[in-house]
Amino acid sequence: MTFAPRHDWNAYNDAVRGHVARIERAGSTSDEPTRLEAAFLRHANYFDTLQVARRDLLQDSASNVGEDRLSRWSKKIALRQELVTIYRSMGPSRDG
Amino acid sequence: MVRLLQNALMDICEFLHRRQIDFALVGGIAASLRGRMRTTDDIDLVLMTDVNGALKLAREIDATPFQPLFPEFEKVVRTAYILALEHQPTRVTLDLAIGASGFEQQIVSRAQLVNIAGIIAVQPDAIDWTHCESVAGQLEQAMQMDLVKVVRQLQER
Repeated sequence: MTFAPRHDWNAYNDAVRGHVARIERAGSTSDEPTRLEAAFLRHANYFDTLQVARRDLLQDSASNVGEDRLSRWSKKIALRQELVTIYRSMGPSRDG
Repeated sequence: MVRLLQNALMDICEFLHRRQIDFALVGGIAASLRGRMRTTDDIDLVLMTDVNGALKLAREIDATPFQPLFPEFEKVVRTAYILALEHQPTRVTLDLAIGASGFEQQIVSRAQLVNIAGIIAVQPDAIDWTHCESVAGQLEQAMQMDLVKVVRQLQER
């Protein structure tokens, strides 16, 4: 009984060398954003669009940006204060 | 073309790196980096510091593009563990949470430096981020059901 034939990696490498080199060259000169960067830029674009739209809308209304922001932050801070109070009242188990 | 988020994020990351304060991105930006887009009004970060560290930071921002969002920022830091800042050039608001709990400290300690579009930021570990999202989701449900107040009342008994 013989062992299974071994793969001839030298032949394989010879066959794909040109192809791999082409991929590497393309990768090194590509100006496409990475996946992480693309995700961030999409989010940033979304964020900026919403911010600008909100500011434009509030400028035209009776309300204003300052009041809108204050109201939003008041809720946020009130919730955090509740959580901090609860957290402080817990024992050492609070950190898991 | 406006670049509100990018400019504000770049400045806050640089500000914190210079002061050697460890931090991590959380909230909408962290979610988007994991491929989960959602709306957000602020830049949310968690800092590895305490109340005194956050107050020191707030007093050092005179020569920076930031200013405290509220005149009574000291009270907010002490009671809500939040340092709320505004990036003046863009008027983007930043929610810097003081990482008091073990969970928050774990998020920061296990987060990794990443270069995103030229910004050196800090991305939470995938598992920590998943837990973070889960807690935020449960908190949202609790807010809708007013459970936070119920828990508070029970504790006061």
